[in-house]
Amino acid sequence: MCAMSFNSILYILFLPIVIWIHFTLPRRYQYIWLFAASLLFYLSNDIRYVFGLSFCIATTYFAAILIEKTKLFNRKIILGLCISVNVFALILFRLLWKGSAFAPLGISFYALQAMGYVIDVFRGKTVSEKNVIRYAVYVAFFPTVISGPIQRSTVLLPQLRNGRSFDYGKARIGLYHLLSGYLLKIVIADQLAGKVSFAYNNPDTLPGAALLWATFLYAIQIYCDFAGYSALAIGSAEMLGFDMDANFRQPYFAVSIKDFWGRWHISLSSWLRDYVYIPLGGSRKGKLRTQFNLMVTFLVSGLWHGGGNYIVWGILHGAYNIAGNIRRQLSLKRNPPVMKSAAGLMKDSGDRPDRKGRLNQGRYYTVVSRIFHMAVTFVLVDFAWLFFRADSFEHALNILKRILFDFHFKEMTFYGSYLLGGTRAELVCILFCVIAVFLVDVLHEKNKSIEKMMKDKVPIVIRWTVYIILTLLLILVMIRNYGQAATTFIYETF
Amino acid sequence: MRKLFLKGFIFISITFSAVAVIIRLSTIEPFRSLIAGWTASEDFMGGSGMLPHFERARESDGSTRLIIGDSIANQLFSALQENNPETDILTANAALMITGQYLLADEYLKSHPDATDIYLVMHPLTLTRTFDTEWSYRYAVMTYVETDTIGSLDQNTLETMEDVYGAIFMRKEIVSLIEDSPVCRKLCLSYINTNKEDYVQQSPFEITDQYVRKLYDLCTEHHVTLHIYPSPVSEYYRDTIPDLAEEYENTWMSVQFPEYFDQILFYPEEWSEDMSHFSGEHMQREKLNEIIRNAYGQDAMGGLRLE
Repeated sequence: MCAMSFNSILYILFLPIVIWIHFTLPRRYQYIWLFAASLLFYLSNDIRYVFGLSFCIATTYFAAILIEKTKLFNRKIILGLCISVNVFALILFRLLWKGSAFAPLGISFYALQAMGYVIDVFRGKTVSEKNVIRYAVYVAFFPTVISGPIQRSTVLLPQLRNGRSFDYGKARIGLYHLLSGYLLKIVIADQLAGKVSFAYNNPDTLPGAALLWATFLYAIQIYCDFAGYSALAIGSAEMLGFDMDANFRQPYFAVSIKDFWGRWHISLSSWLRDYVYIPLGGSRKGKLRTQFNLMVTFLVSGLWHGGGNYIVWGILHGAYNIAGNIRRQLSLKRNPPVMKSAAGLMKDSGDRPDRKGRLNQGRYYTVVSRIFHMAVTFVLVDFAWLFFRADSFEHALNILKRILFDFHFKEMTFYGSYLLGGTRAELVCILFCVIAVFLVDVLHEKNKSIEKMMKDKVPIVIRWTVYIILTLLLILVMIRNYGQAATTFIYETF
Repeated sequence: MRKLFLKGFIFISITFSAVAVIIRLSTIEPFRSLIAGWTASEDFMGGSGMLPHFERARESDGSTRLIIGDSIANQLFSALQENNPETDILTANAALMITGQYLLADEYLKSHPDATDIYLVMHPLTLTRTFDTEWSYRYAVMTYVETDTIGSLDQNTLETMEDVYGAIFMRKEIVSLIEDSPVCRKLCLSYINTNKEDYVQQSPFEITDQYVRKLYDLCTEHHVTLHIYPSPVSEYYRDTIPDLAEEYENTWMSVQFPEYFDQILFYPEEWSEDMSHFSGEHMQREKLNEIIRNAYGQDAMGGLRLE
């Protein structure tokens, strides 16, 4: 069977058929069709994946039902057993049997989703799903089964239970997300992947400046790749009438590491917050314990990504968060929070006022200050990406050493190594696209929806012309890449 | 939902129409070069270079001898054409396949009623070539379709080619589009290379044996003598040749041309960079002539003038 993923031609044929039949069926039977479609999608990659998926579905399905039916002490045992076996399965497949044919695709995502459901049932946040097929759809929902976003039971299960009616507006937004996702992945991420690989596979032949440039480009690559994937997942779900939360919120506009983790891979960071950090005590057990809990949470994140270098990446972010916390506490002592007029000053985006109406504990940013904090945050994040991308700790250290001690900026420009194996025209085109993404993110940061702006303010002829040109651009880039080995989505490997 | 699907259908129709226009433009200059640049298909702008061979074969130039063969033969003999007007030297390359050599000879004999001899010069490994997904489509299959000679092949060969490449890629209009449009050539060749598999012969000389026999019968019909000679072989392949010679004994060719493997001239490895074609000073005309004399005797190819 031909393997299906979002960037395969087969998926473009698969999705409309699934949508058509989905909305043709009565709402109470839609989940059965989604179950069949999800199985077909998932098992087209490898039929052996059925074992891992079935194990996860079976253990969490029965655990949730039993938890509802038994007394408190037994409920804890059942929960503990269920979590243990699924964590064990995760460790087995992701760390010990990494790369083997038995490691089910997407287990890192659907296992968290399933465990989250069981914990939600334990906490009384949701009722257990008695219909095993419907529950299986929740775990194996094809838009999200391979690489998320990780869905909460309180969000997805009710929608599966109620069924979906066709919503033209939602479908249009879904199409917009699909187009965005493909553009991010194919036009930007895939093009950058070649350049980054060129640098990271040949670090000893390039000056440090070129490696630094490649590390910067990797930050763009991984964002476009993963945000692109999330857009495709969300768009596919929206086409089926489902509502999904955003997984990215302009992460490189973050003014602090804490802010960054409220914007990057939101479904995972919020899952870790709710199911690891808070159960450990969160920030309720004193300052020292808070930092410990933070570090453990980021260690878990590193392990979840696959151990090895990812643990270093996790530790770095843990350390960043701890340092950020300490800095904030020292800053609070120096400058007690006050409510200021926002005239001429920009708010720290994404903040909600506390009970006393203070925003970010009274922190306001001027434009210059905001850009400065964004730049510092980006540098810290990109430094950690170096370890994320490198093949090993030694590889990362070698690259870092060359960046610091073998910079040779002039050599990079003179010999053209900044082109990273490509042509100037290619690089200019990619950078043009990156600037376009940046501008779109600026609009999103100001809570302006491009899709809504296009619909409300742009005549249909121009709107369609833009969409057709973007689609042709997509086809053009696909033709350029045709014949080369296809790049998988980065997070498909987790 | 109908509205969405209708709009989707219209959108897709417009987009594909635009794509069709771009593909059509990619066959005519100046758009051809421009679109090739946009789609990274510059490497696919050139043709296989086989068509002129068939055009020359069809010219009634009064020659009586034909030399055909692979690229090593081409290196040895092609520069001698000017001095040998009575001989048509239409050596090509191994990717044209024995089937292509047969078609070339067939075209030659149709327009040269006074022909007396055909010389087929092929490296032993060339005789084992199969329909592969990397070279044979562009050099062999496309050439056969474009020259309208494909119909002269046996039905089993046509079926084999359809299995390997797909029947659609053997239609004349598709081949013409692929020939004229670098982007279509890139897509087609990449598709075949990625999604298709080489034809696995039942024996190393399966295809060659069938078509050498056809060529022999064709020559007999036209009262022409067929000669088969090996191209010179690098010492690098010295150990491989005995096994091939043993397999050769099981073919029809071995009955008609038993001395093929005995005639092989082995040359030192240093004479070639790729272990097939001569390089460095051994590419000079004098050296090549010396190799011809050593390999085929003083009256090589019916008295070919080497100076």
